[in-house]
Amino acid sequence: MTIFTSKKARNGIVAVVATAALAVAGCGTGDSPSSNAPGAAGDNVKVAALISGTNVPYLATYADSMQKKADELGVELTVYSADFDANKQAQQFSQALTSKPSAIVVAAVDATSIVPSLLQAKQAGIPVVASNTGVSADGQALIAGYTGPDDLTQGAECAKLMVEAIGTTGKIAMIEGALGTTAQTNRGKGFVDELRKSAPGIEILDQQTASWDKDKARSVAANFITRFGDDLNAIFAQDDTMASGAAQAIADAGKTGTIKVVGLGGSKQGFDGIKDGSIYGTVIQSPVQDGALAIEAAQKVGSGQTIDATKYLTPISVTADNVSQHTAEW
Amino acid sequence: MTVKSETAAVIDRPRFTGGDIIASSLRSGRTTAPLRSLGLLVIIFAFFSIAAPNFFSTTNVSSLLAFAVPAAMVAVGLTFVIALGEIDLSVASVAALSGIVFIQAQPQGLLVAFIATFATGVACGLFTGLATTLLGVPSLVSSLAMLFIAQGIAFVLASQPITGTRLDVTIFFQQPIGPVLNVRILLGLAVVVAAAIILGLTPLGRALYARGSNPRGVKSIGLPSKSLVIGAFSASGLLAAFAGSIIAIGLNSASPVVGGDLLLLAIAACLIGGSRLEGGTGSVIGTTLALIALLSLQSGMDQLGVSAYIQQVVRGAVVLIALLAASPASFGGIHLASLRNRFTRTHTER
Repeated sequence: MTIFTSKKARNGIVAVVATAALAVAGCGTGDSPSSNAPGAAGDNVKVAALISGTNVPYLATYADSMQKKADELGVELTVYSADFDANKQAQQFSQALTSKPSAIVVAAVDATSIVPSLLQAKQAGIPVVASNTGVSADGQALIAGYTGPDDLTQGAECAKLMVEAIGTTGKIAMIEGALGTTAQTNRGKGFVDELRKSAPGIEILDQQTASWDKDKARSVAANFITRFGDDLNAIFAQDDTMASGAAQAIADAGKTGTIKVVGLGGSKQGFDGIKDGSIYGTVIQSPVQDGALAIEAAQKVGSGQTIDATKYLTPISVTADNVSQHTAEW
Repeated sequence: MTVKSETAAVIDRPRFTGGDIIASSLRSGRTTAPLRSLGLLVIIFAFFSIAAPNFFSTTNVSSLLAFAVPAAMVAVGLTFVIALGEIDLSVASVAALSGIVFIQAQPQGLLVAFIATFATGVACGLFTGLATTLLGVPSLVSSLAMLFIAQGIAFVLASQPITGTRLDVTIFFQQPIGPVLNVRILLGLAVVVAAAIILGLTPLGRALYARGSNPRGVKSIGLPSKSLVIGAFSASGLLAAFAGSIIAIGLNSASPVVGGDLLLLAIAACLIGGSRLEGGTGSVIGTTLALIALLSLQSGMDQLGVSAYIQQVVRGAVVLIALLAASPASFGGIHLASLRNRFTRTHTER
């Protein structure tokens, strides 16, 4: 008998505390998805945004920008974050479909595994705007359009900066983002292809991943410096966070300026590096523009209009020459 | 002390009377743990059904269950391993590796793909089991080694996401059966039921619990302790592989970075569902219900638009609260567990 009564009491406590905890969490953010201004242009357009992960600086700013744009257009926005897990994103996608939004924005965790979800949206008759990350060839027919960066072009722009930094011959190393992500694959491909074309004299000694992480990039760069010594002329890091880690390692070795660093993104860390001379240059990818374009496109397809198949962000190269003309967005 | 004599008593007895079964169920948490998980599930469902308009719809419940399947497979495997007092940290990376094997073997036919996938999972489990028993490495270490090995091999096989060739299988697995079920959910349900029967109602299950409660005692009464450990790790590997293939089919692709939160989710589900890391307890049904509860929590918060950061805080709080409810013996000086032992002992020694 003792067991059962105490069990009930215990479950009762769980019930009260858990509900209270959830209620607090719910109230704290409850007003964010439902900011529908009556009479605005996009009245009654409901958009679900499925973001690969909002817990990194770029995508956090990107999500904020979406919300701002949605408020401005009177779009009712719900944001899902998949913590960079394709399986979790598929789950969120199918849940978002059950709430029957007017349109879906998806920043896919990866370009291929999103395809079955796109197929489900197609069957449900809900238009999808791919944003930030493209979808694979099989998915192209299933989306209304793509807005966001062209990773290939961004990578190519970085290659041009690299040539500017060290000339058409030299030896470099590349620090890659998380393996398997579209950004890692395509930034690398755009960079390498452009180098082969415009500066075949530049040799890539090695490439290693630092998973978009500053500390890892610092240790990867330190290893490059130890292994290649004076042979190494420059490092290309696939984002500014890693570029600033690499710049740190170069400073540790007392080689700031001798080993050049090129980053990508236009983040605060990247700009700071350019200003203090530890980073040669970067290519801006604007999270604010990225998020805003997605919501604009979703609002259009959600209210029955058509959109362009692709709408790319404008890549802007930044070096010490023009860094004062730009502000970092993330 | 008391545990030892009870365990021996349970194992030695050739036939069980009704009272014994109830008593041993209570002791191992097989009866009460599912109730606790069910309680948590009901609370979470009740809350979100009120707070989120679409939460309690058949389509949402169906989608919830479908995505609970892979995590449930991993958690059920882990329930076996934890029941005998070990831990398997490799499950998520074995699932990712198996998914890649599945997609890569698809062109050779589905049967070959499934066999290759399951063989991969069992091989991983065997490795952990053998390292634990023959080399005497604690499973915390051997399964951690397996985690890295599986992850490494996964990246060697496919450094980036690979696309499958059988979108038809993906669609078949989503085929609805009635308003809520589909092929994927039914498969998961079948495995859960089979596992619940094996762990809860067979001599094999009792042997696993016994090994968990008292590893030395098991040897002395002639149960094959090493085989039990190797078998449980193989089962865990097999179920992780099954989870991996389900995920790969669902996404029609595989990636070495898929399923990152499977491990922690599964451990949390086991603990809420009645498993204790010391071994000797655990319930397949309890684990499964706890897992569905945790995923419902996530899904409900997603629908309310709760930010990813707050979600993690709430998830942590709910896991902690559920665990406090699970083992009050260690908190606040209430020694319920000892009360329970006294209660059950009077029954077994009757």
